[in-house]
Amino acid sequence: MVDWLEHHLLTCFIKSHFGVECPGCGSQRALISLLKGNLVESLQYHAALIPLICTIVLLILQLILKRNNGGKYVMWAFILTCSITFIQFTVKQIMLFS
Amino acid sequence: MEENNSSNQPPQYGQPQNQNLNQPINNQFGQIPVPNSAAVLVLGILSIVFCICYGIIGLVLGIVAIVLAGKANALYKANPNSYTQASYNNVKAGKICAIIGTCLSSLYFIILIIYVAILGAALTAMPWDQMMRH
Repeated sequence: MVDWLEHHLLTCFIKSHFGVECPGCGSQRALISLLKGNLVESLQYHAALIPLICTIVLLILQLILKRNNGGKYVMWAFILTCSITFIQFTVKQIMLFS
Repeated sequence: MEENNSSNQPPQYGQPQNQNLNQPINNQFGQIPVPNSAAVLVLGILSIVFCICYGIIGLVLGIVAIVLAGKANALYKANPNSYTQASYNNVKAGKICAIIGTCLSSLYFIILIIYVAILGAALTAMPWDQMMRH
């Protein structure tokens, strides 16, 4: 499974055409290292992958259970994921140019 | 079809009851979820997932989610007692998610366009002819 994923990585459209990384670049490498069990390496590649998985799990739970305030939790998980993604993206770009 | 829902009140309610939205709701009044409530939430969240790569899809999904949320909101406002509170909360959360996703995708796109424009200007301004001669 991991082997198959490693050999079938999708290339980012933006990175291959413009040469600029997009905020999601590294998520596939992060997923592969997460499946291998390297948590630290996964966080280095893409820190928001684990919150993203949590958000999707929360979303599915909310759609099944239909809790009264569940939407709020999904929303906050989503905001957390977004902020982590864009903070890491900004830091990566600054590190690249400095 | 959605317009039918808002104009035809289900007969068992009669006149709208008190407008207290915080009453415990367990579908005991035959309430139905707001149409598209689940779709709004899912699209709102997918907008950031796809903004992360292939930004334009995220933009489209976010805008679709905002439009659907606006419609669902209008339906709920027209007849609050016939829809469940949970689904309305879903719509509100999904709308906020969609707005964030759309803003971030468009921001990223603007930055990308500026970057490519600067890069293109720099490349065209370079004295390629002189460099080739040397």
